[in-house]
Amino acid sequence: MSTALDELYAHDRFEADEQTGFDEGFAALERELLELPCVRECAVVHTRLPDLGETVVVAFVPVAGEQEASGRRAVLAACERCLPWLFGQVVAVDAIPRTAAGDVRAGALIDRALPQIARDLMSPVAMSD
Amino acid sequence: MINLDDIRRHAAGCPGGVALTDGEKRLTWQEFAEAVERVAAGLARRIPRQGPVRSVFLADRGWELVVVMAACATLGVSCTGLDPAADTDRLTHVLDRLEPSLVFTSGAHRPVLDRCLWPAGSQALHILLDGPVTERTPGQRTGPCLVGLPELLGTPPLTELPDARPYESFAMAPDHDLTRVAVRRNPGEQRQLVDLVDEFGFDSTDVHLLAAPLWQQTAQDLTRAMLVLGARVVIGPEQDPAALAATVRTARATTGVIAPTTLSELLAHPDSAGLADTGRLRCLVTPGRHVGRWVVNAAWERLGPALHLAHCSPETGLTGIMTPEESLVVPMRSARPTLGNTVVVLTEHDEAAAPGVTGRVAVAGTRVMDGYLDDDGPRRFLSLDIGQGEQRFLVTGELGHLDEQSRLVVTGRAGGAPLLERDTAVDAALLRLEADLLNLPCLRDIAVMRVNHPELGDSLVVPFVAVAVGREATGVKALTATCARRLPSLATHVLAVDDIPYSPTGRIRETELLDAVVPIIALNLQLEQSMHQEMSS
Repeated sequence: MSTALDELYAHDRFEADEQTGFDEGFAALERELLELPCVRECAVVHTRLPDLGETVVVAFVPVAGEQEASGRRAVLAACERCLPWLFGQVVAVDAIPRTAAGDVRAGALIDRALPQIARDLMSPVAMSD
Repeated sequence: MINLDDIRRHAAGCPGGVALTDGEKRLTWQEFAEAVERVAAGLARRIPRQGPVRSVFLADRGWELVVVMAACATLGVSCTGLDPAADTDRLTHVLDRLEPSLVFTSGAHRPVLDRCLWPAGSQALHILLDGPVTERTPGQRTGPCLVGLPELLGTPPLTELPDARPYESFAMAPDHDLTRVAVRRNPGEQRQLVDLVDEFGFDSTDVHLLAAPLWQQTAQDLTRAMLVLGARVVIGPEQDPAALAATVRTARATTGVIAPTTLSELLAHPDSAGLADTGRLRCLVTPGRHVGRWVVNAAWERLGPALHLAHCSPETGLTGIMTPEESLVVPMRSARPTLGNTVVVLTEHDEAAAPGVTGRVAVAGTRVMDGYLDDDGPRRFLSLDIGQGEQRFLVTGELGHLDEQSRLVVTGRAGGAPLLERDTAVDAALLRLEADLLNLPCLRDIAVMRVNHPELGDSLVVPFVAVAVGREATGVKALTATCARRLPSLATHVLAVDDIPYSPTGRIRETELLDAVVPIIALNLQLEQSMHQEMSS
């Protein structure tokens, strides 16, 4: 039985598999991040950024200032487990903009995180870690 | 919301009992009844006597909003909450579909509504909830189509209520790029009240904390249920976790509904540490779709066994719940169906899947909406018999499975990972701006922050540390010119500071920095504006 996704990518099986793999990895990453007790909250946004192309931005709020580095390592590890073929931009933020229902206001989050991403691109945080 | 008959019933039984608390304001059942009678009379004089009348509100929670919602319920007028975080296009679309005759708003949200232009907008009556209408700013809505709540509260009560209107209820349902308007034409409040009482054991002795916006369906349903039962409702302060913790403690709240962001802020605040010791809070409901493990653990530690994670949506209301004890041992985004609701997972052939099999989640229940006002979206309903007779299910956009204990575990979304489309030109300029600014020789350190602040709007805030004392003015000129060259579409506020705060990993502490510089920028803008006014006069 063919699914809607199969019909959409009927011309290219490889592309369909790749897209399904990304969607599953993205959903798995969301679930894993929710289970992390070492960060206060997390949000994952799939977007296109200049110079980087299609990318996944993961924003997290550290539990405390001194636990920011460990929280970052945990989030990066989750990204590597769920989307190993993709480099995730992990950014620590003070707060994640959300609606009252808890949904992430993705546009506002990227607006806020973009200057930090620019700084990270110039001097990667991983080196200082 | 509660209607006048129920309020009068409680007022007769306990006239001095407090129905509603909002900061210093306290309304007894008698005062609540009187306020609702007067507002209902004021509204009844301004709307047609027959036919459907719809109202919307765009306002923060407060006793005034509860009163007008109760007045609308008394008159049989639907009162739909609008999400203030939604953009102008979405709000305009909803207003265009609903064509409301009454619009309740507050001073803070009035500019948002004034930006929304919908065909029937000029005929709508706008009611300002937070004070009398005094100002007459050019371009803003004035005259007979704008009244203040005090004007309605001064109306003599009606001798008899108008005839009942046909029931209808609406909810904003975000759907990818659009917001659809879900509609229900069969009242299910009585059935829901019975189910909630059976599920949670609510009664008239409860003190209910309202710490979520009333446009959220679950917050509205729970608050209505508590008021109908005769419980006291305490409206929690907004954006002030210390005051919220004090409210929980002093009001001795036993139940409540709270927005996830508010809950996270409350748990992170030191004042929430002793709340478990009061031992009163037993059921605090929050939408659980985005709640993480840290919140569950911290809530158990700080609030005691109180946090209930709700599975809910605007179209279905509250469909599932996870108790505090179970939340600790099951995956996040798990829920057990509440009384009156049936949750199934569908296979590709639209049949009920076996436990453990992942598929689309579908919900049936008394609070599921009938359909949508706009028919151009996808059809989402199907009839299914899973052993309890034919039931009408709403197929949601979620993927999940039922575990061996019949708990729903949400694992993803049917549309895959949503891609956020952005203005790449602005983003590219912003990325390059950082490098441009750091290469300037007139500064020692700099922070570029993009904010959407109520006073500043969508703008860039650029605090910098000048290279030497006395070189601030030239630094401001150079930075302003660079920002204007790279990003002419964004307003830029450049300001010299002594220091830029960093976290241990080298991240700029934006909140701390913004708290320090935004008041100075706002003051500068006010001075500039008053100077221009003086010069022009």
